[in-house]
Amino acid sequence: MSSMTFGRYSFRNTFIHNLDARNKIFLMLLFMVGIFFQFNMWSTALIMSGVYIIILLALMLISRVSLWSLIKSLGGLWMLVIFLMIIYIFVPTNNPKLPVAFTIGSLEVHWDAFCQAGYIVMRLILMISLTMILTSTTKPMDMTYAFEWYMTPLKPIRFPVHEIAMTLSIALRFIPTLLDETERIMKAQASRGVDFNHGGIFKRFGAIIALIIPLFVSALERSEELANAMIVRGYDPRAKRTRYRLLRFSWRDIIAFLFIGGIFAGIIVMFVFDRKNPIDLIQLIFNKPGF
Amino acid sequence: MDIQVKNIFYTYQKKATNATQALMDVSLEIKDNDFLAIVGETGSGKSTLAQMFNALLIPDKGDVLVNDYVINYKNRKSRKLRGLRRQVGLVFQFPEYQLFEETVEKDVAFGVKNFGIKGEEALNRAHEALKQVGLDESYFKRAPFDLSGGEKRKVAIAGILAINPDILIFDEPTAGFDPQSSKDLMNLITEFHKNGKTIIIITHDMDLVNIYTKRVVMLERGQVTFDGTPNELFSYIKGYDRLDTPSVIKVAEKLKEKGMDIDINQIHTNEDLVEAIKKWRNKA
Repeated sequence: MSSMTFGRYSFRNTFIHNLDARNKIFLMLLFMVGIFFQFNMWSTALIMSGVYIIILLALMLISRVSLWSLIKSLGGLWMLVIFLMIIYIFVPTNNPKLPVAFTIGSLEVHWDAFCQAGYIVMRLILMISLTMILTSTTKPMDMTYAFEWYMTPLKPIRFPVHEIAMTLSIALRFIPTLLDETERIMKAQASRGVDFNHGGIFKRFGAIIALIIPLFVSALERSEELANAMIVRGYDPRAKRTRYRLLRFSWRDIIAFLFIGGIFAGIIVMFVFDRKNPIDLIQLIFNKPGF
Repeated sequence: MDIQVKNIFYTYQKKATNATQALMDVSLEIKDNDFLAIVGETGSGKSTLAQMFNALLIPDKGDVLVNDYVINYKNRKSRKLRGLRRQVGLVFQFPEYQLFEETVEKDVAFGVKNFGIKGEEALNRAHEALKQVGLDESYFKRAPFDLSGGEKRKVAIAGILAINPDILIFDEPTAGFDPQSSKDLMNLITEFHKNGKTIIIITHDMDLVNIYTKRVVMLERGQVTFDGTPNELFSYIKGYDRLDTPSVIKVAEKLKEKGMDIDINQIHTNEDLVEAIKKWRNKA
């Protein structure tokens, strides 16, 4: 179960941990939107990528999220990279700026295809890292409160805001419980001779069934018990309630807001500049005679 | 079918900062056809120790020898260890949660099939095991999820019994049972013992220990602090809050204090106490 550590909340007392969850979610989304601005020229794209990576590393350093755990969790992305490469190579590029890398039959593959694929993958990695910083610095409960707060405008149209937030927080609460349960059932079935680690595909499939069904049964039983316990204590989703933990906006949030807001503004400036300026340095280097 | 535990250590979540040392230098010897209880407070490591006996957990240090099987850190990945589970049956706490097949007989036969016994033979063994735990033919084709809690637990126990292990380990077998069901289950376990099986029960119910077992091992914070007969244990645990002396013994002790001449070591059940009182009265 140790592979589940990716993005799991870890208690630390850092600047980012102490930010308001609502603010953190908003700023993360803002930064992501910024990252997905499409630049015209490869040189701008390259420079901005460098800037993004530096900011991300700084955020990781501040929040003390380990770079190593990020790299480990990105291991599964290789399939995606190869897939994107293949797609970009076989789909002709719109108005390519860079010279032809090679030709397959009548298909001309430009260097643009590789740049495009690399650029997309880099932005995906940035998104994943940002999400990971968010989840590992924010308590799951605070996150659900923040979601609830963002959904408040939907309340007048009878959208079940509180119910969704409650479902979300219960789901998060039960992840560790179900992991324990899984381990317990695995051990019980292992005592009956089930081998989860060896054997062919059919044997393993059988082993998984012996795990999944009892797990479902116990999860359903647990949910019923919990529902009963909530009813007994007079839980009413429509009732007005006060809260033990409050989300508060502090001076830290203002600083963070100004910082990410500034970056976002910078990205827009670069975007406009990029559209107006015709000189692409990378294009110049690639188109130099002799390259 | 001896079990030998030699200086084993075990730690949960070794890398985490909140690593808990569950077993510290535990040594133990269990003879063939023993009826042993392992007692201790919650978190004393008794369940951990039980899982060592059929290699569900592997000690970090030290060896567990069961017959020809050697369980230690060096051969933790050995495929042979699965064969060990055919000889050591472990019934977990609340085993009713492990049922999953469509019918009771299929579920009981599941374990048998996993050890390579196929078809008719597996079903026959399942039927036999079910009868042993007191479930007759009318139960064979029923869905396990429709049964009551006690019946489910019997099916789960039959699932282990059908594998026909020489050593049976029960983790809190009577947890959540009413007194009569507990009594029935314990009588059943005593029956297995008479048929030649080695029985290990893990419990903190001192009444069970007093009535049924011959030998008790007590664990405290991962260490064996007591190994002897139930009566010796009861004088040893005087003053422990969480391990209670059986009520019969308490009554007998009070009577003795008041001047009644009773041999407390002879008293295990309510009937024993009645006999002792009668004897004392006849003498007086």
